[in-house]
Amino acid sequence: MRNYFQQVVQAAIVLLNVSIVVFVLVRVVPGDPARLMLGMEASDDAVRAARTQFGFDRPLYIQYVQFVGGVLRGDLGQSVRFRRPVGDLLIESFPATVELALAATAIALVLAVPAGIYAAVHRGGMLDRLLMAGALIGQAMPIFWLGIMLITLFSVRLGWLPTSGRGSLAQLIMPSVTLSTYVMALLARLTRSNMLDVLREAYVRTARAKGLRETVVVHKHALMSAALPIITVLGLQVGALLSGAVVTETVFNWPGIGTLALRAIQQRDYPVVQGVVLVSAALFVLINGTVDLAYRYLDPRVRLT
Amino acid sequence: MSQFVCVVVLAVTLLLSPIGLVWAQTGEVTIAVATDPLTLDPRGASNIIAWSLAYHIADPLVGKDRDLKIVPLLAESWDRPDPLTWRFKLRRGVKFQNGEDVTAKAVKATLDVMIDPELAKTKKIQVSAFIRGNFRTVERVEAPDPYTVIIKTKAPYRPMLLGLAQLGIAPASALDGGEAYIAHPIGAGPYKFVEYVPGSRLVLEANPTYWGTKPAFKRVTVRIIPENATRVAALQTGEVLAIYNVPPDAIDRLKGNKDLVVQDTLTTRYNYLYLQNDRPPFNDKRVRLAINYALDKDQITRVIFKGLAKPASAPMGPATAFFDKNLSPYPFDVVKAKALLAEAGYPNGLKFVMGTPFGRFINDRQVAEAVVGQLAKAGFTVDLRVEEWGTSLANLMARKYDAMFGAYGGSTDPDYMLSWLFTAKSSVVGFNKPEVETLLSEGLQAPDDATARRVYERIQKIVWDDVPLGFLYFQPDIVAFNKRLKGFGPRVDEYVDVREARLE
Repeated sequence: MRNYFQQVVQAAIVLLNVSIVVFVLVRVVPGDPARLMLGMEASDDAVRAARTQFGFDRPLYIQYVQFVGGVLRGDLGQSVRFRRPVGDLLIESFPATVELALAATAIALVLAVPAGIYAAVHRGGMLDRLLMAGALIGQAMPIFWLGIMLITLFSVRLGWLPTSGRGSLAQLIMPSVTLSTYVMALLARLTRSNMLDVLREAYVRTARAKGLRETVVVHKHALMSAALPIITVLGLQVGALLSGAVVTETVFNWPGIGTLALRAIQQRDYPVVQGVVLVSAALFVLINGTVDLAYRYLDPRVRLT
Repeated sequence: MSQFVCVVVLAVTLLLSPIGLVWAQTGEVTIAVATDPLTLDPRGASNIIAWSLAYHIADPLVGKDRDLKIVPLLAESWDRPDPLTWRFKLRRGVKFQNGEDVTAKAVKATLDVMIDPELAKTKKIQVSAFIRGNFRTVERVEAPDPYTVIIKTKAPYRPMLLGLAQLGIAPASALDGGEAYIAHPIGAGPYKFVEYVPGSRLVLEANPTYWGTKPAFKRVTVRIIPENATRVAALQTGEVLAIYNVPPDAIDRLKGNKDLVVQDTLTTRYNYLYLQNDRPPFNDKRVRLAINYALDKDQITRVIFKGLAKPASAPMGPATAFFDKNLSPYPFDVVKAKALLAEAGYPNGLKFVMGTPFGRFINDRQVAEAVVGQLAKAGFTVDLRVEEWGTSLANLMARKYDAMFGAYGGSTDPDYMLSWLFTAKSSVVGFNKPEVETLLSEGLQAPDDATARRVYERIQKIVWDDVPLGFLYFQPDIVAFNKRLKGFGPRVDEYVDVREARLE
């Protein structure tokens, strides 16, 4: 119980720090939301008036206190550009990104873990080398480029899939495959190396010595212990997925928080940037907390200590 | 087993089928633009995409057709009883999309918000600085009877009709609607607002009670696809029937498709280098001239713009009213540039800092890099700073760098095109010529077009000869669309326009 409490306090501290960092960062970057909104020919007076209206002329510490006070009341403020509550914009955008991230994770898991196991079991074989070379390429490939290549091939050349947008399952395929590549490559390599370690363990030898079938040895005895670091890494990859989502969503015109964040940064829409970062950070903390819990469930050693 | 295969095949086919269906259904059209309109409230619209899309939802008093001719919309006629008064007779029996009547009261309410910043503030209405600028000389608006609107100005104001053509009329109830109206704008235009998902799409549907020619489409979807490659691909696959802002490097690919048409036009937009006229080294006219002779405009327009841009020959784009056709571009002459530079006291060349945004104007970074190379041949050493638009704009307004690559455009009125840069109060290049300012106010008050033309040609000549900028080129607006789409194409005012488009 004390443990959970500690975790909650830690999470709160993390989020507090995130709120300070994002609040300061958006304001340190040159650029003025009022000027960007009104355009270059607007008079300085008009720009000043707009800044006053948004409250950006108040002392920074007051703005920060207002921001945090609002967050505690569940109010993330109002978008400068869209004149709408940031909360509403996030509620509209988040499901799209969650859908994309889940689909990408699912694809990565389904393809990478079996590939990693296979490569480990058939270590040094032709397919192992091919798979690992593929993983290396996948990890090194810019998401942006891959996305455009997929569109060129599957939409323009073959006409199988729509180029972009969100709505049908067909529209989900290319963005989620694109986003999955990075995680997929990482997972395949990780599964392989963990499996290799575990397969050398004494208990695996014992299992084999008992005369168990090789599939049982690999899938039950070896994979169970090899799975732990994979789950941890997957939890940490939420960050990579969110940042990958910015690029993927831009290429495929996917209306998630990535496109929202990008536009908000371009327009210096401070409240929106703050909202996106804070909520993403909260999500990250939540998922890693969950991974911690999952660990306890899966690994008796952690449960007992 | 074979049944199972059939079901799977059928399911997959159904899942994948949205391609093509988008426009196979009659009466629907999907087009794609590169920029978010941000708001469809005609009073708050602050970019061309927003003005032109709001123009589908809310009819202004007058409109402008493709040739920029002013045409009657909600006002069926107008006159000017004296130089300070504009009188409009409204069309009778016209209704807003919410059933309210279009009356002088609604017109007055819409205009009052423009001329009274306090009113806009108390009603929480975001007013676009650009649109408000069109009404800066308005003293008051009167509605003596339900179908007459009188606009009184403090001084004679020539571009009044053009300004009115950019302001869709909102119902009187919108005055108190505040943010509810922004979320769901209502007007008396041919298309009704359905939904706007920022970064994704705007959906409009036909207004069956529209007073004028009934709209051709039941539904219009405007997708927002900022990524060039994706937008082009969406047109190639037929997901959208038309795209705006075609990147020049995609033109050949699109022209290769026999179902597609690529059209371009020059607009009001012109591209140039901002030079700081009131501080060294560019306070010396010889140095500014040297820059203009050192720039190889032909090379940029030919190579980077595939010949669709044209070397600039005036300090405003050719679609601007009263554009002076008699001026010609500064020739490319490195020898002359070097000589001028030496004469100005820089025989060993000159070093300066230049900024450029990237991702803001077509091929901006490429052009800026080409410019650096061209200037080097004449002895200029340019330290180029490439920045994203938010930063670049801040540096432009702060006048941080000696020079900056940029562009200006957006209104077809010469006052808008000239007064920002060439009035001392607002000039970000330190331009200060009282003679030009006197002429600008004469132009605004010009009683007729002949006078206005004389005045604006004079201003263009003075500015052109003074070389306050490094003049580059007139930027094209390129649109690509399916051949079946008729009554459609690029407009010189860069409007996105499907008001009169139809499918064949």
